Amino acid sequence: MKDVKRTNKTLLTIAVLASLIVPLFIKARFMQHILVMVVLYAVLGQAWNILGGYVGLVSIGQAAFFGLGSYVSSYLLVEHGINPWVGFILAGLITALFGFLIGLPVTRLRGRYFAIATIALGQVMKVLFENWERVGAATGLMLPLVKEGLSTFQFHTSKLPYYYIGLAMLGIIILFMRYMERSRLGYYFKAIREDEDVATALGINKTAYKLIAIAISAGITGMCGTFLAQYSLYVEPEYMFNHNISVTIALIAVFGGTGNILGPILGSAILLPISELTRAWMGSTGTGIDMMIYGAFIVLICVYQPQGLMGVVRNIQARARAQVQQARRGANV
Amino acid sequence: MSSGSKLVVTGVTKRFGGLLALNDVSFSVESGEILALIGPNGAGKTTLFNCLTGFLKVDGGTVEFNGQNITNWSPNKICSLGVARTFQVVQVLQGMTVLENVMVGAYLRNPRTAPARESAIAVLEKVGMLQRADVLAVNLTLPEKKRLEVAMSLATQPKVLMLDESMAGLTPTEAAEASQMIRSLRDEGLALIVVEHVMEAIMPIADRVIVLDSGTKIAEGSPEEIVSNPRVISAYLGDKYAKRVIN
Repeated sequence: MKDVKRTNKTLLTIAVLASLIVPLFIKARFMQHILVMVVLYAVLGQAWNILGGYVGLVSIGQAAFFGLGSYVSSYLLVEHGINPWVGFILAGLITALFGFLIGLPVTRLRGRYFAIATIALGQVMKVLFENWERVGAATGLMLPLVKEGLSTFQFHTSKLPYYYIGLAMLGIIILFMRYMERSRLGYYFKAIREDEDVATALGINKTAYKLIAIAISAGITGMCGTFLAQYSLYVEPEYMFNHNISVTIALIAVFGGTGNILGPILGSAILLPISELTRAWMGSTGTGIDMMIYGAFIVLICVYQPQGLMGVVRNIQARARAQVQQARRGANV
Repeated sequence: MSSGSKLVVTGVTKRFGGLLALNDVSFSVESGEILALIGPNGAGKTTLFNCLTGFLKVDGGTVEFNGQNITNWSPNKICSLGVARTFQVVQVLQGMTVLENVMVGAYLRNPRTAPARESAIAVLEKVGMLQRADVLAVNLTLPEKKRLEVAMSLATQPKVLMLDESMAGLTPTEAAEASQMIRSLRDEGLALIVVEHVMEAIMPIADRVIVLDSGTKIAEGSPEEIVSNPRVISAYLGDKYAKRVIN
């Protein structure tokens, strides 16, 4: 056991150092773009994971929170000149409140009905913003181009600062989730996922905890919305409320493995490069072959490892542990 | 911790559409007492449990705990007040370990993890499951699951504990162990309401028995009185048999 723990610690250190240092040597803007997308979707996957993986509420409408967050900060910046970092925080708070209010009726639904309701939510938000003149309706908002720097949350010469900001967000959310996993909150979340009736019989107010989960998940997702708005410097409903965002987020988390911290990170680190690279290499052929490869890859994993990539990791760990034990037994004999 | 608690049920009535599932049921149970609740299939025993613990709303009557009216409170509020239950079809948190299952219960009184873990370990020791602490609940045997369910309820530190058929499906030896555990809980001052199908298991340990038939309370008394009660015999075995026994 000690060996396994030490290996895990070494692997973690290597992963952290690699994620900090390796990007410095990547100069191609497209590669930098992929890195930014990987960390962004890792954070989005974690936010989904809190709701879907721990509490068991499968959301396919995260774009509603994502888009709302992007609009909050962009509107404040464009119309009132408010610093995007303030908008970033406000986007988190407002989408969390929005998630809470939406959760009041929606968390009463169980299983697939919850999923369907969230799909509807995403679509409704998109139509709403497409017709809302005040925030630019279907044309959206262009963010003013200003001097680059951390204080303006804009970087033009390199995409790497966005990557490091995203990485910081990922680090913070991982720390939060590690705390959550070991606290009452995490235990109660899992209990609700496993069996709502048992949870209630043990004194858990399931509605309250579901609302907490959806508020946290929505808040983080909203902040990611601000991040993408600052990255692409414009927001429009078709882009920010796109149903593809909702599907990709859920896909990454499920593909990586839900209900644990590593899963969504793995999912994002593997799925997004495949998606972006196949699109770049083959997307222009007009045959849709990039989507076919992407789809085939997902189908293969689903068929051979329904637990997602974390299932693969667990198998390897179990095998290593068994080998260590066997070796020890051999040594004793 | 639980001296002098009392649960009083007065005239509880529950309808499912046209079906009268519970009709004016009244009884009470106190600390240090085992109340057995028996009756044929469909008599309304589980419905009564669900009404008392807030999982179903009653259509009439009241439930009072220590003088406080808790009728139609939410189940989690009733639990935090000190009235806990288990389920007829055993329900545990399958994907979590035994210790984690009990910790979920223990968190009710200990918001922080370290004391919750200690309290959960203490409960596991009491029900004799400490050596299984790290096993996933889904991998337990049926008797172990039933025991775990009791442990989870106990971890919420209840004053009244309602056990719904916690001995069904157990072998005679396992049932005897379960009876022993129920008895020791009573001796610690808990009030227990035990729904049971297995008469042999429950009669020796019950202090008082109430009998439900078609939603109506047809008898209440000591186990000896109940087994010779003609209405009970006819409810269980039919009128013909009842006449033969009485004569």
